[in-house]
Amino acid sequence: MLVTMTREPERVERAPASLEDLLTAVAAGDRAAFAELYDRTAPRVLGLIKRLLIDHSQSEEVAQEVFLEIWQTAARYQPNKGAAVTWMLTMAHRRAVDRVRSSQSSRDRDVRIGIRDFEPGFDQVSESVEVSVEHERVSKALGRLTELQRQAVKLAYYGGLSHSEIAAKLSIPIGTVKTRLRDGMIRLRDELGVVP
Amino acid sequence: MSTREEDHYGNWAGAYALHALTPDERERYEEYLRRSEDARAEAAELGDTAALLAVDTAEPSAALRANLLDAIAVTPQLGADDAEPAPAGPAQTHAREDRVADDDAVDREELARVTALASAPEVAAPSAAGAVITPAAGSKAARRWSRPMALVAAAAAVVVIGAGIAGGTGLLTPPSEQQQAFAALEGADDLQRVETTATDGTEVTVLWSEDLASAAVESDGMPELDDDLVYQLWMIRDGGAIPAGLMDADEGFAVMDGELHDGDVIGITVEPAGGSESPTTDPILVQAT
Repeated sequence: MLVTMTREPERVERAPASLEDLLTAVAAGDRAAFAELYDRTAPRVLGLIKRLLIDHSQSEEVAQEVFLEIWQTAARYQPNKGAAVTWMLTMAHRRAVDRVRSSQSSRDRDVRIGIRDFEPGFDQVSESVEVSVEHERVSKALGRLTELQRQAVKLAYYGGLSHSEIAAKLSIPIGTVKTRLRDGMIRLRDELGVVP
Repeated sequence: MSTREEDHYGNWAGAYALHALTPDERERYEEYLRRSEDARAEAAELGDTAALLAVDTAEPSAALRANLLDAIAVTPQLGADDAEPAPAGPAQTHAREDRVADDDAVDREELARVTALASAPEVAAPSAAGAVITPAAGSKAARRWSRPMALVAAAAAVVVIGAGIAGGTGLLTPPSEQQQAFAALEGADDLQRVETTATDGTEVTVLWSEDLASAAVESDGMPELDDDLVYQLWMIRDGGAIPAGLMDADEGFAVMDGELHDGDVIGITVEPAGGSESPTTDPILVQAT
């Protein structure tokens, strides 16, 4: 009997999976899905981490921790609670902040933070149109904050500073820092149209 | 009361979303979030907003991708529930019954009885030696298996001590600690055992008890290795492998060094004599607990 040509329907001409689908597949132990998820998000995850840590190899170390955590905890991601990329970037930011605060090179941070403003930190290779548009949007939204709010938000998010470090740096009470961070984030939320 | 709480925590939402709280404050705030639906909603929105600020990109190295794909092949995944350990392996039976007919059970009891008379050597605190041993941060192995360096150093100290016990000549090395630990493990009420097969086809039994936070590996058929190689045991957790002692093929079993945590994965690799700080080869056996 002739052997019929078999096709694997799963693999034929698939539409690109959403990041949410990929993360769900990762939760089920799908390593190919993990590879694809990595390929599509690693530049952004690493970009965020590098923004805080500056040093490339240290940033890669943290990115590796982050992606391993994603692999391990993918089952905890709840699609109804938000976008996959948000979940991943939140994790990346937390890890980067942890590293910044424990890092021996943290003494360099004040210098770094002082110098840096909200300048693009692209590696030209991986900048996509999508990211660029977003960058523009975020720049604009940050521009709507008061100078004091923007300062505090940027020190926290891009510098990884704790509220007490921000308070010390700006010579203002911690309570004031918290208020500025909250007001600033609420303004950003409204500017960026984040819908609950 | 809730008003007072709101007064207290009300303006923490931004700092929380930006990871600007101290770990202690974060914990307290998360407790507050469990009590307040409004605060939860705000925290979620501001968290989403914060992630939008991540607009930079950077090009990762090819090595990062390769390391990760290697690592996930041996890294267990957690369930949706925080506290839930990874699903246990198949074919678990309680060993107490199994062991009754075991022909060397008597020998073990005898050994345990005899050696109990000798005082077991104290295992030095890992931290004492951990300061001395610096892991090769840039080494292939270190990149291959990510691990907080302090833990690697501490665990590496344990393996040096473990090497003297498990890999010794039998002359000065008292079998007591291993034998006693094995006997204790086998007597554990919650003993789990899984019979599995190493990549070389050797039958290996992995035993563990969560109550005792202890695990062991047992096999009669492990092939002898060249003198410059050893079997090394690992507890794999948090995406990294912690050295857990060496295993002498002749001995037929080894109780692992270190405390077993819920959800740990047990691994065995072949390493250069003396063992490694991190695995340098692919595991010949990986078993979830």
